[in-house]
Amino acid sequence: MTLVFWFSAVAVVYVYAGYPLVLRAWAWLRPRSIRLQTSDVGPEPAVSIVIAARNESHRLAARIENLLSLDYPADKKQIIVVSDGSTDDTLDVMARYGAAVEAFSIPPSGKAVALNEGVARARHEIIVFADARQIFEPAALRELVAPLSDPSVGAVTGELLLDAESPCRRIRDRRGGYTGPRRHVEADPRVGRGSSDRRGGLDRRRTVRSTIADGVGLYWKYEKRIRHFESAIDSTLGATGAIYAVRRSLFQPLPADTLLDDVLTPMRVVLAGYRVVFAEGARALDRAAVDADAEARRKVRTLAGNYQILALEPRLLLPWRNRVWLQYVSHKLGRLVMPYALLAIFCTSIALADAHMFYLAVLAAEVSLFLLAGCGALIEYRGQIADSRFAALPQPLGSPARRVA
Amino acid sequence: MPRVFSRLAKVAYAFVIMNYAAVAGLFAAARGRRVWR
Repeated sequence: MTLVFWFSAVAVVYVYAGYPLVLRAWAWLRPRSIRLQTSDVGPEPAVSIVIAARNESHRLAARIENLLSLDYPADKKQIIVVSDGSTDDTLDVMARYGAAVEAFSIPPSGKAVALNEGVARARHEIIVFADARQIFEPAALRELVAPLSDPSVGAVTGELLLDAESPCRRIRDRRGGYTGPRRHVEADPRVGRGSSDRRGGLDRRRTVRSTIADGVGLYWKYEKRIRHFESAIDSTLGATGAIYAVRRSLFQPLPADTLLDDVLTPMRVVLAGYRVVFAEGARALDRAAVDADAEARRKVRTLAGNYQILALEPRLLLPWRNRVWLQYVSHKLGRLVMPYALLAIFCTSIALADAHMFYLAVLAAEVSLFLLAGCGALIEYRGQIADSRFAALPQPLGSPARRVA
Repeated sequence: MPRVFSRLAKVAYAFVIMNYAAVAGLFAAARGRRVWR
C-alpha cells in the first residue's frame, strides 16, 4: 500500500512539476539553437495554406480575409480550402475570392482525408495548416516559416492565444474593468484589419462567460511553457492544429480516422530525424471553449487521439527509435496515467491515514482539491444559468446585458 | 466570493475535467466511439 502511494505520488509530482523543472534546467544547460539562414527556402518561401472545413461558410469569409491581409507576399501564398462534405454554401463563399483561393469539395470523409486532399493539391514545399475558426496575427506566417530556413527543422508550430490571455483581455483586467466569471473580450484591433466581414471576427471574440475558460487558459499557458522548453532542447511533441507548418517532403498521408493530425504529423517528422520547433511569434487567436461540456468533449477527443497515436506509431514507445522518448513518456504518456495515479493516491491515503499524519494531510489536500473543483463546477453552472437568462432577454436588451460585466 | 478562491476553484475544476477526459478518452478510443469534432 505504501509502495503504491509513493510510486503514484512521485509520478504525479514528476509529471506536473519535476518534468517542467528538468526541461527548464536542460534548456538552460544545453539549448539547441535554430540556425536561421538564407537557405533553400529563402526568407519568404512560397507556402501552401491548407484549411479543411465542414459547414464553416459563416466563418470562412473572415478567415480568408485574414489570410489575404497577412504581412506576406501575395504571390507566395496558395490558399486551399477543402470542403469536407459541406452542405452549406462554402464553395459559393469561396468563389467570391476567385483565383486567390482554391476551393473544392470532397464527400464527407473526415478532417484527415480532407487534409490529405489539400496537401495533394499544394504546389509549394512548405505546407501551413490552419483551421477555419482562428485568425492569425499579421506577422504570423512570416514568423512561422522562418525556422524552416534551418535544414534540421522539419516542422514548426505556432502559438495559440486563447481569449483569456489575449492582449485586450489583459489590458481590461489591469484596468479592473471585469471581474468574476463574466467578461467581454473585444475583437483584437490588430487582426482582420480591412476585413469586409467584421461580424465574423467579432463573433469569434464575443462575450465569453465560461468559468472553465480561465482554468483552461492557465493550463494552456503551462502547456506552452513546456512546449517552449521542449523546443529549446530538441522538439515539441505536437503542434497547434490552428497554426503549424511542415515540409511537404516530410508529410505522410494521414489515416482516415486520425484524431490528432497535429500530433501525428509532427511526431512522424521527429521520427524521420528532423526537429519540430515552437515559434512563439507566430500567433493565432482563438477563444477557449465556451462551456465545460464543450471543453470536456475537446479534451476527450484529444486524449483519445493520444491513445490512437500509440497504435498508429508504436515506434514512439521505443527509446532506440524515438530520440524524444523521455519527453514523450514524461509529457504525453504521463498525462494519460495521471488520473489513475491520483485515484491510487486517494485510495491509499485513506488506508494509510491512521498510520501517519502525512497521509492524512495528503488525503485532506486531495479532498480539498475535489471540493474546490465542485465549487468551480457550481460557478460554471451559475454562469450558464445567468447566460441563458440574458439570452432570453428581448433584443436589444439581451446583447448589451451580455456585454456588461 | 473572494477572487483568489474563485480562481483556485476554476483551476481545480479544469484540472478535474482534464483528468476525467484522460479516462473517457481511453474508453472512447477502446470502444471506437466517435469523438470527432
